[in-house]
Amino acid sequence: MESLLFWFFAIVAVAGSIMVIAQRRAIYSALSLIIVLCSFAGFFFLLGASFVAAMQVIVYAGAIMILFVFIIWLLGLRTGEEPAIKMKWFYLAIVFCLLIGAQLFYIFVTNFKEVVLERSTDIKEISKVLLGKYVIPFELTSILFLAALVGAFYLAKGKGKAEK
Amino acid sequence: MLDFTQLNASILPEIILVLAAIVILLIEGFQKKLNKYCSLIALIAVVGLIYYLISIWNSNLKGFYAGVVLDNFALFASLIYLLSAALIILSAVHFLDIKKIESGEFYALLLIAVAAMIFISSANDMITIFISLEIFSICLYVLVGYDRNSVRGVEGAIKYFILGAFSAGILLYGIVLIYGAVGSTNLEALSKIQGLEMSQKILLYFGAGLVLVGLGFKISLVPFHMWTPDAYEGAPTVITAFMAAATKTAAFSVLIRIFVINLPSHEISLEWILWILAIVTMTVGNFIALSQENIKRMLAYSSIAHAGYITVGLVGASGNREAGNVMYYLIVYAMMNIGAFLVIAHLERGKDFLSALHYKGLAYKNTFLALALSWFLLCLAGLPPTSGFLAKYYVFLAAVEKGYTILVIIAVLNSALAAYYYLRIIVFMWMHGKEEGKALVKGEETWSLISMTAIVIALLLTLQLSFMPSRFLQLALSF
Amino acid sequence: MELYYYLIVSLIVFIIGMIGFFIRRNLITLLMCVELMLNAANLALMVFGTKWGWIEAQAIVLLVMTVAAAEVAVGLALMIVVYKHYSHLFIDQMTKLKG
Repeated sequence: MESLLFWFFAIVAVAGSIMVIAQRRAIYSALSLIIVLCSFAGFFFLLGASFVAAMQVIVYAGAIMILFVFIIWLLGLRTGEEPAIKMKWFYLAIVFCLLIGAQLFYIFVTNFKEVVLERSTDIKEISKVLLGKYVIPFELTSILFLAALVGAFYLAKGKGKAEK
Repeated sequence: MLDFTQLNASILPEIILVLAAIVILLIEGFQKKLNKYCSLIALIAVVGLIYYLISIWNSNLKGFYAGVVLDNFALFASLIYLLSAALIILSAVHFLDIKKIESGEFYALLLIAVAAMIFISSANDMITIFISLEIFSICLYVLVGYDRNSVRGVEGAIKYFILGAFSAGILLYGIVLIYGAVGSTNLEALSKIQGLEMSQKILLYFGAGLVLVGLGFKISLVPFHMWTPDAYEGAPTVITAFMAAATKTAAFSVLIRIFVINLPSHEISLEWILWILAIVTMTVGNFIALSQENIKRMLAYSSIAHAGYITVGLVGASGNREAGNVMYYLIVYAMMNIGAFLVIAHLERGKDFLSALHYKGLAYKNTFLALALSWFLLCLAGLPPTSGFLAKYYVFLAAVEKGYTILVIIAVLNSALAAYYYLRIIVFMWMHGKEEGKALVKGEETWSLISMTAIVIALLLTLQLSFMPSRFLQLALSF
Repeated sequence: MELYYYLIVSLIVFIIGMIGFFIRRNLITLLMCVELMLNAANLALMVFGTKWGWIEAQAIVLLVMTVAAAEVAVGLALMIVVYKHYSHLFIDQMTKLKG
């Protein structure tokens, strides 16, 4: 059952991410990205991290993608349409990425075969780590949100008269 | 449970800066009348912290589960950010006024960016590094596009943002690979782990490479420099100065902490990559700078070239002395670059006054500004009596001692080439008649004592770094 | 289920994200490619976490999600400003800044 689910999610994730970069309209890319994010939540669930899986769906697929879809809708569906893909870069990118990918692929295959740790799903444990070992990054996220909030608000509030 | 013995004063500077930022935001939100005091609050916080940081030199505070280490290295880097921020704030008062840009959020975002930069140099954990890098990047994306009505500023901001986001993705994957290789995100743990298997080493190699690429975007090493000229040209000039000085220092301090202080114990050598990057960076930066007419764009390419010189100091570096050399270079670079940008900001009236040709005959219209700009440009060119020469000398000497003669020869040739475009501006200022040039049309000169003070302070600091460098050298060599 | 399958999926998605970043020109799509890369990193992190520390990995993933959210918020606000000036979002057609 687990392997069946895994293959399902894997095919959806890879096909979905190809759709994200192959669609010429931004709204279709956004919808494909939602599917990818949900299948990633599926991976987290299969790995045994049900809390992170839930967060993935709520925060990513919910909040962040709503922002994307909202902006595309606000700026007009047609703005997302591109003339054509730049093929010159495409081949270069593929060669470069495959070189890195092949190496890592080999290491992953040889190195990560066995499961070592017992995987607890206790949320309490996560919060202990967040307020213990990772207390500084955790508090930093509040500064991050302050900066993002002020910045996004400042940028978007203007009347935006274009300079001639 | 939360272990209270882990809490200590090692994050006090950041707390003060963020509190000052919040106070400024509250004033901006609720007491518009007090708006003009925002810059004063920011300045008091920053200058107070400079004194505080010098007073806690050598204290080596460590806390938060070894996540924060406020050692001399971090203190020195923080000193650079705070000095830069103080000069920027002084100059921004006048600059924002003239450009008619609202000021409240400006100082708040600047202070948050400085706080994040102090975090990034005192962080001992890669997750902290990643998040603080994101914080100051987000602040800078907004600050680059701070003049929302200027199409250039917004274009620079979006280009900076999109490449910055991309570099964040790469940096995160690199951090994850390092975590996968050694099982910890803590840098101290990373440096202590012994006996890695071959496959773990390869994984670590890839992780380190991706981290280098991610940070390479921030310090604008050459294949990753595409955003630099656009963002530097588009941004308000005071922010350009801040980006050139502080962002570069922040990213370099992370590079030093990861690659010079913590990684060498694994015999992971990225020497040849850094070697190539250094040469490509300075050569490309200098050659493109030769053909630039816009003075901000020219200084952007010159900052790319300087990133190349600084990288020379990182090639094969493995100890605190090399780290000290690079940090000394960074403080010298920060001061002279900010000085040059502040003069440009002081002279700037509209977007049309940024071409090199407008500086013709400046010496006869405002001799002091021409003198100051000439001095800063001579420093940037690295001519002998200046601090720029001294900094280059230390970095190059260390590289020669390690046997990278070819690298140093190329770097010296590059510096000679670079002198051309700096001297060209100086020639424009001094060797052309009064009639030419439009940098200061009569009646347009608005004297601002505050921004003049900033230029004078930058001038004094570079003079001290040139002729009495021992104080700063002592600090830089005390890591 | 072998764990390295997950890593390979993460690697493939990361590379697709990178390729997408090079070939696309629409700013919104570029940001989506970055999201793909961040997600791939998250998945790899979880898999490494099964070996090195399961709870830590989950905590880090949560932190990364918050970073992604903040970045998207600022990025989309910037895009609104860009749209006001240009009426389009294609990065290769923004040529006000050229040396």
